Amino acid sequence: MSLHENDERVGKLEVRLLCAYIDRELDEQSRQEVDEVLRLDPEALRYVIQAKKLNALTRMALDAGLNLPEGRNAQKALDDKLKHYQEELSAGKVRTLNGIINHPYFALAASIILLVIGFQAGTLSLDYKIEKKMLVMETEKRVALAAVESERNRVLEYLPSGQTTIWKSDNGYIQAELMPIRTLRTENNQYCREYKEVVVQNEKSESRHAVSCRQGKEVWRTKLILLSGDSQPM
Amino acid sequence: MQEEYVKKFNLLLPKLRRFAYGLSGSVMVAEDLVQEAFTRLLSADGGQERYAEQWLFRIVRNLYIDLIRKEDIRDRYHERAKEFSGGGNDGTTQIETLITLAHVRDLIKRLPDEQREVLLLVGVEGYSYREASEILELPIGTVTSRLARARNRLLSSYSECGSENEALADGGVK
Repeated sequence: MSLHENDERVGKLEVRLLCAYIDRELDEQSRQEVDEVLRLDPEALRYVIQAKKLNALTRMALDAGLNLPEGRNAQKALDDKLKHYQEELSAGKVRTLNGIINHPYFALAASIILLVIGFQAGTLSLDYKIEKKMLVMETEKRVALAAVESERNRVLEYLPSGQTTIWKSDNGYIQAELMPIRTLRTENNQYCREYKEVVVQNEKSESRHAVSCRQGKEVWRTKLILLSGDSQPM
Repeated sequence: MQEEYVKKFNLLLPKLRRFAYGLSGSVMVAEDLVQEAFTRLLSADGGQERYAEQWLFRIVRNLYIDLIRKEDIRDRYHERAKEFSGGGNDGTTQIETLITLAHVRDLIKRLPDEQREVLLLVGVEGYSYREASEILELPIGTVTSRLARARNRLLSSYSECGSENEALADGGVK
């Protein structure tokens, strides 16, 4: 495929039309007409397939990037701030109903409602309260995702290919179904494993088909996402 | 009303963070952008709640533009982009030479800002052209042309190393 920034056509179709097809902006009749052309136009079809694939890859790449070293530093900063906040809670500087504050979205929604009726509660500033509540929310999510990664490492280390395991976090916040598909060995004798997983979080599930390579005992790093998206049965 | 907001923000936060990260290339900056956007939403008089989703994306994008202008963050951003791309591909294995997630991030970062924001909203987050045009306050025609240019540029870069990636994506690793 030869493409340049100013190209307006790929194969027989205009790029804008292909984009509208990819982004589901066409009505049913137009969509069927593009389908017909794509059957006979491998170059345009390849564009569509590659563009859809890049959409999914970009999404996964950004999600993965949020967990890079810089992200881990951010998590440490969040954890430090959260610890400080919890200390203030225990010292009675912040009043709250037991349990409610631990659910970040209740806290966030409560802030909105309080604001709407013009109620300014507590001694903390609005910015401060929002920040802390978001920290609780973010930290809970990151802890859950870190737990999934840990479980994935154990599965890739020990579970034979073709076997499935189902794991659930202690608080029930997140559930994962994991299955190694096969084991690969690279030219320099590094072991990699192809795997599938379905992660369910807050009733929303996402599936992933990927390759992860062994960095050390129970330490695996995902090198390539082959397929990702909404959940599909394994 | 409370449950409605709980569900809404539950779905919205990861999308906003990903959008902010895609724009800025920095987790820390992304956290700041999202936090500031929520702060502004809650500090507003109440008229924005109804349109909170698009409003928040617009604020994140505008805050990022302000950051670039005020702090010349772009230079630091590209420094980080180099670090990312260097760290994601050390060339020690065959698999590591294939298209990696770090490489995809690098490709996204090389897009001009105005193309990247459209691709992130439509291609990654799934907003319609009309929704993206409202968020970015641009005519739909501008959105579609920028999207087409972004895709062309991205696919051109991607196809340069596409043959190896195709082999793996088709299950060719034995």
